[in-house]
Amino acid sequence: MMDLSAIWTMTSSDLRQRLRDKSVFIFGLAVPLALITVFNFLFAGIGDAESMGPITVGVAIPDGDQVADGLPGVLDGVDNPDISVQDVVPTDAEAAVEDDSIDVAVVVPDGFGATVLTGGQADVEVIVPADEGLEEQVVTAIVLGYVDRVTALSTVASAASSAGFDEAAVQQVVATVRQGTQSPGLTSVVGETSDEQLGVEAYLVAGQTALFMFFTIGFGVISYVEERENGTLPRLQSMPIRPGSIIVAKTLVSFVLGVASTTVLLTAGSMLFGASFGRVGPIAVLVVATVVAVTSLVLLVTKVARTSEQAQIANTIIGLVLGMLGGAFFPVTGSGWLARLADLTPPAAFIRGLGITSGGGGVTDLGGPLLVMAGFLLVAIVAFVAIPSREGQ
Amino acid sequence: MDAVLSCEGLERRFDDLIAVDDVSFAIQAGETYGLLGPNGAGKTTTISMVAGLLEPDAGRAVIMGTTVGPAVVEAKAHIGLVPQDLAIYPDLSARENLRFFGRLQRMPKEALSARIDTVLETVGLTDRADDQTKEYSGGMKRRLNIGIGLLHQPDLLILDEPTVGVDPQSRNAILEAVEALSVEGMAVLYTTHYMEEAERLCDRIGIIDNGRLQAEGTRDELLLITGEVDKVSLQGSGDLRAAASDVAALPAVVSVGREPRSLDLTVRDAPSALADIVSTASAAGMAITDVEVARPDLESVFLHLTGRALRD
Repeated sequence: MMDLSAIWTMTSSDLRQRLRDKSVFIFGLAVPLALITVFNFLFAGIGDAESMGPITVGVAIPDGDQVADGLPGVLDGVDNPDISVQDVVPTDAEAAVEDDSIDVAVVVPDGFGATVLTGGQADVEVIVPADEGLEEQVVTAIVLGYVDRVTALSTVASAASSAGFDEAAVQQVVATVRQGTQSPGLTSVVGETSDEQLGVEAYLVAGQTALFMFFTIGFGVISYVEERENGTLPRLQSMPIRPGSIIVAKTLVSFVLGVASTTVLLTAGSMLFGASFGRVGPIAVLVVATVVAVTSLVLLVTKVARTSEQAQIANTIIGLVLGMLGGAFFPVTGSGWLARLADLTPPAAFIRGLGITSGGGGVTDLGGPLLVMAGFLLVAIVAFVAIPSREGQ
Repeated sequence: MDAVLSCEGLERRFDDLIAVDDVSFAIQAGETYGLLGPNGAGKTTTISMVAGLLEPDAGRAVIMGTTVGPAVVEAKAHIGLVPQDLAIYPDLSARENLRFFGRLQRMPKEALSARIDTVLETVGLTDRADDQTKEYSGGMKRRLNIGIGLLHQPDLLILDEPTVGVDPQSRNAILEAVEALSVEGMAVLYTTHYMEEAERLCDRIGIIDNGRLQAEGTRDELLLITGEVDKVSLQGSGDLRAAASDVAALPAVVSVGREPRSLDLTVRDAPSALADIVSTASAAGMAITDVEVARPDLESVFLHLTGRALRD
């Protein structure tokens, strides 16, 4: 049975001391906000790199080449990037790219159509600048796609002729095949992140909040080890209170500090950096679940550590490792078992959960992240019970 | 009268080390009981079991009729513990420290406020009551450490080496405060490795070494164990032969040795007999220039019991 009055007395006194010594403000709020600001400055614009600018393409088509004639139309029909097509003289193409009068030059060789129609191999030259960007790569891909397509059609025509079809029949076969292999027009959708992705600013806020949660929460339960060192723990244990009340109070302090600092960081992040995380209800559920999971881990550290210094070092290492694995600094792009393991860390689940809420997801959509937190809590509780206490040693 | 504390065969092991081995003693209300022994003798482990911090491997400690244990809240309500370490919070003031521990002792709010003022007065911290204790001197912290133990007026106050590292002035203040406690009827368990403190404060003393209680009793009872008596040396000139003869006839005098310029006596209860000895020797014609009295002390007792000095 818990001694609620004693727990409240210890919790409120601990909170008063933590607030009084200012360290919780420094490590729970000031440092993460400063880091978010710095990272935001360093990585500004990374999120916009995927949006493409307009591009000018110079195209050289041999006179009377009906096969190549379709290429400018295909390029002109692309919306993203916005492609402007203009004619270019083949001999001037490279110079035009170098002097930036055009961005890309496409030179179709003489006899291109005839070669293709007879089933031969024709090379189209695409001239791009040395600092080739995404837009130039897209143009190259479109040209290659066009060449592949007309080559495929000529192969069909050649096969039909070889099979004894007359010219009219061959044209019909080609038209039929063209219809059947009609590639979809190149379209793009601009700007919407997927349901589990955060923008750069929101990602930085979420990542740093997840990372510093470990340090803030440490101020609560690690003080249990400090009390053991400072001699106040024996006095507390001699008080007429239930033995478990002390650790429950410390855990409660961690929980309160964790929830408070996370809330403040997410709110400050939203206000200062324009990050958006969605509705309050699902976010609150995610925050509470994450704080509980992290608190259980830090609690485990206090049971193993002999000194508060050991506990703080271990907590810092665990926080940094799990934070980096979970993508608190950069998104984890690896694959394999380590990447799958990284997905199971509280920071990763927290960031993923915020991605879900920012995409409009509710509590029921948070199943994955909440399951990770519950699993973490369960493992920590089992380990906590299994590891012998250092009391009395 | 039932004892406030009764320890029966307390035993505690840490792996292969027997820290406390079959320790038994009792303390009555208003009595100050000292556990005297060197560092590592088992004093702190004993009081940890008495205070309910450690479960004994064998035996039990009973406080006001209730057996003590880490989970026995009822027994702990009778205890005030003053640990050897400074068990106070540096970021809280003296008043906040007292209020915090008073609430954990379940003291009613109004009674607590009044009692805090009294305790602050007792330990001489009224003027600095609202300063954070990290700004206190070592002696002030020690006094507050004791004040917290006194706050709820426990039936048993346990003081674990409360004067370690304290300046002489603060030490004297602490000893005076402890002396006053027995007058108020509180039972006090006082551990120390300072012989003088045990002699000054304690009604009865248990001498502990290697986890075992070697002997216990009042100071005089313990001194009898050594079989030693007081020694008195009279320095001077004149008729030392006549003086030796007359002094030897006094009932308190056990033996007399005569040197050219002194008489060396062994005496029972020297303080009581000293006036008779001096006047008798003077009357016999000895011109006394100096008197020295040497009494056996608890150091002698410890040496006698363990074969080594208390400070070893």
